[in-house]
Amino acid sequence: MTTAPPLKVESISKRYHARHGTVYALRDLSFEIRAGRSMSIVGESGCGKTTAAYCIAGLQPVDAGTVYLAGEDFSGATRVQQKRLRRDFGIVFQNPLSALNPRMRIWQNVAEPLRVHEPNMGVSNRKQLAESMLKRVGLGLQHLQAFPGELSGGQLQRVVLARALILNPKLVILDEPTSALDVSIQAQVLNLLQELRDTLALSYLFITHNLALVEVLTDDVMVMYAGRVVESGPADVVFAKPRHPYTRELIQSIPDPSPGNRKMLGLNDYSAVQQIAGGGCAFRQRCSNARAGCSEVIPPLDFQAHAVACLYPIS
Amino acid sequence: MSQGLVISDLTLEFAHGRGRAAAVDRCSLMVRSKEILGLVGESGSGKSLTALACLGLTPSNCRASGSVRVNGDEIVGAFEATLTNLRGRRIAMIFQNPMTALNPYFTIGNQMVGVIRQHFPIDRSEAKQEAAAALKQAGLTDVVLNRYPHQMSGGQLQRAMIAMAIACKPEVLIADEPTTALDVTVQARILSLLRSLADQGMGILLITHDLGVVAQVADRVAVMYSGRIIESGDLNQVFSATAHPYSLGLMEASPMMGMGRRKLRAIPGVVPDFRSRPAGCAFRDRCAQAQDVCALGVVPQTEIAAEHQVRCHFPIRESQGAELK
Amino acid sequence: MSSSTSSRLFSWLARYIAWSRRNIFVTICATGFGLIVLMALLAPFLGLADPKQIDFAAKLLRPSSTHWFGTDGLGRDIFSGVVHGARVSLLVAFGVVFIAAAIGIPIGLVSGYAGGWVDTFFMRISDVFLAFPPLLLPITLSALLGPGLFNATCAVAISWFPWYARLIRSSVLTVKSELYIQSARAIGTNPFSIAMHHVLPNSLSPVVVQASLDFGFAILTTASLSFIGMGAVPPTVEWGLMVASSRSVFLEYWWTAMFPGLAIFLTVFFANVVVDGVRDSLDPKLRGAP
Repeated sequence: MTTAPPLKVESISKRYHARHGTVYALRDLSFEIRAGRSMSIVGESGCGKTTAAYCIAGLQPVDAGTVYLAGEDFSGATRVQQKRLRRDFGIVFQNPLSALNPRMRIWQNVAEPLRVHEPNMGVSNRKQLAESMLKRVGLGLQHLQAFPGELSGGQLQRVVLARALILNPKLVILDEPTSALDVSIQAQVLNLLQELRDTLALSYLFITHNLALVEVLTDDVMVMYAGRVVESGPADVVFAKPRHPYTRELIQSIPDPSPGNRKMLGLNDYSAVQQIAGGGCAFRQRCSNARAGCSEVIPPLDFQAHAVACLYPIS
Repeated sequence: MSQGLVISDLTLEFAHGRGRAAAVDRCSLMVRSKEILGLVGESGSGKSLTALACLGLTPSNCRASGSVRVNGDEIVGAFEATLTNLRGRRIAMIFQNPMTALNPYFTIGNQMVGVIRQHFPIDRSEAKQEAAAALKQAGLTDVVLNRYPHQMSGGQLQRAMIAMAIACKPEVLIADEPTTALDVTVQARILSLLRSLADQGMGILLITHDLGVVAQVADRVAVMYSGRIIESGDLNQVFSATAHPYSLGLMEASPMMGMGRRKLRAIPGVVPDFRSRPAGCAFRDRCAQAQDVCALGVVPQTEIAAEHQVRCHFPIRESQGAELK
Repeated sequence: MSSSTSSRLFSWLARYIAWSRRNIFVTICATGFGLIVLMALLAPFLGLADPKQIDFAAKLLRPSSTHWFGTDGLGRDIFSGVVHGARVSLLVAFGVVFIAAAIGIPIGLVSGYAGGWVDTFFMRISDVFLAFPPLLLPITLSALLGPGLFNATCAVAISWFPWYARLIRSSVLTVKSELYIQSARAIGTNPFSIAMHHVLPNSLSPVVVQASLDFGFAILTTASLSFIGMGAVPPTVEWGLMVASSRSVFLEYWWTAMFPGLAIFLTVFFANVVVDGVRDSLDPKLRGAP
């Protein structure tokens, strides 16, 4: 018997209305995360990755398309129906301090999903489960009664993780979980995420702007630009041999911490990722490879294991 | 040839419930002209405070001692009037978040002209020309003169802030995490700009937590931990023959492309608060090779190679380093 | 009491004492306020003269050992009047603040959380109330409702609730955008539960501060209302009324106005100083490691 994939996204779009017309924050995004595998979405600010995370988590409604959680329609469900499906995923945000109720104690924050989904479970049972979950993420019991303001960033992110995992979901959405943390703390949290993924057989949807973290946590990657996927596939393949000019530029821009490997780029700055008028590829103004056909048609994502949306991909 | 920025035994103390504690403890640094010194540290290291001290901008409850000289002029203890003359003209600073560091109510041109005319007795049109020249140097056109901050992107704003900082041609530029809030493609270009500014004669103190950034543009590097400089020297030396366990730990914890699914080597524990710093070496509670002597007194600085100093009783020798990596 | 609870209490006490040392002035005022409250609570048991007892033979006597604050135009002991008046004034002040908050908080919470036309509706109603000059509305409402302290309390409370509504609404607007609200939604918490468990507790602190400040103002306002004949009516013992009834004689017989006036002044002053002094510790965000 085949089990449904933890997450399947079919052609979701999200638009908003600006002065100069309709702008698509997200356009026809489709992908699937199979059981036991994890996926990263990478891109720079404005590419739509955070919008994608929020739409998938049901925090924003989609304007088109469907989100399936464990095979069931999530985005089209009513709030009550959605509640039942929300047990199947947990979410970790970028800013751990803001993600916890400052007036609730740590154990109460962690036990919150239990209070919502298991109303018949008594307070002491909830507290016990919260305790064991906090131990699982490496936090001592002395933090149980503390308030969020008393803990450090790294500790707080562990608390958020404990809360996300307390209902034993199979999918965890991680929206830039370590961007606000120092390098050494980031390493601790990433190691913890790796370990939990392996011991609990979790699937991650990992949103990040830091390409170096992709391979640490996930198998597959999708590169987004201006609301669309421009390249996707297994992370090692995509990074070793990028096919889209934007992916290549991203990889080249990452500062490599080995001084022997200096790369200098030109002085010209381009304006931020944005929708540009007219049809055609959104990246064409920045692309060194752009040709006549690029302004006419939006390149579709070809259906391969290592897919790219470009009329003239790098071979 | 300008003497650049010379920091000697800088100590920044704060009062707290139980006495005084030094957030920055006897730091010594030097930034010569035409060079970029990367100051690396995490939160709690005191790096941003050090930057503020270089312009005399530390908070009023902070007591500064030691010396910070900009091209010979002393900053610590100087009168406000002296400092106002030095700021912008001899030493300038750019900050992490360009959106909040620029006044949203005035155009970029307005703000730049204001700064220029404060230091030079020239009229508005001349000042505007200077501003345009600075913008060009920073990679922007003079259209920006009439733009407001909210009309520009993060990368453009950072360039505008750099232009404003260099408009009076200071000898020293302090950049406090200038690219942390920017996208990685934009970051690469801003770093290029900083490199070209240094090549043209400026001395730049680049403060960051990102080792990759340092590796790409710096000539020399200093690593700061809990208010102290624990390792410093020539960039290649420090990166290839890393001597302090903390610096090595930082390098191993920094994720790199192409590492695959390898587990990152995390440093256990957290940075101590400067008010409750352990005696002796501040890193010893987290250090795998700490011994009893590490708890006694100030750790002396040793020169383990030309252009490479470290503050550790047991610096990692080259052979060990290869094993640990 | 378990050892952890007692040690927590002990450390709390130690911190409190250390804080009091650093803020001597606030501590003195807090003690003063505490004494006034104590006085109000114990008034009937202190064996004082009946403050309502009229005795024309003893009218307008100077402060002496028998009448510490002297007597008023009807021979009533002023000291006893001040002590008993404390009960009324404090009760009324508390009542005003409580009712105003009880009306304003739900309105502001719903307004801020729901947004849209609900928000517009409630805020426009509040604007109407806020458009009146500060004392005019209580006076008008008081006149409508008739004399009496209870009516005066309601009048002031109804005039003041829009402030609380606005305060909590702006707090709610900020809290709404915090990530823990998004987390609660992601978990599947229903909107009512989010409003009660997450939004309300975190929006209350500016309201608490305002309420504490308003305490002093409430005393002043009710005293003022009594002064112009709108609030307390005889034979109720109330500080404002005491000042009012001394109107015609206080120039010669200063003690008739001085002591009740001083009581009003000191209570309001102490209350405000205390609130100002503890305002910072009322904010949980500052509840970090010491």
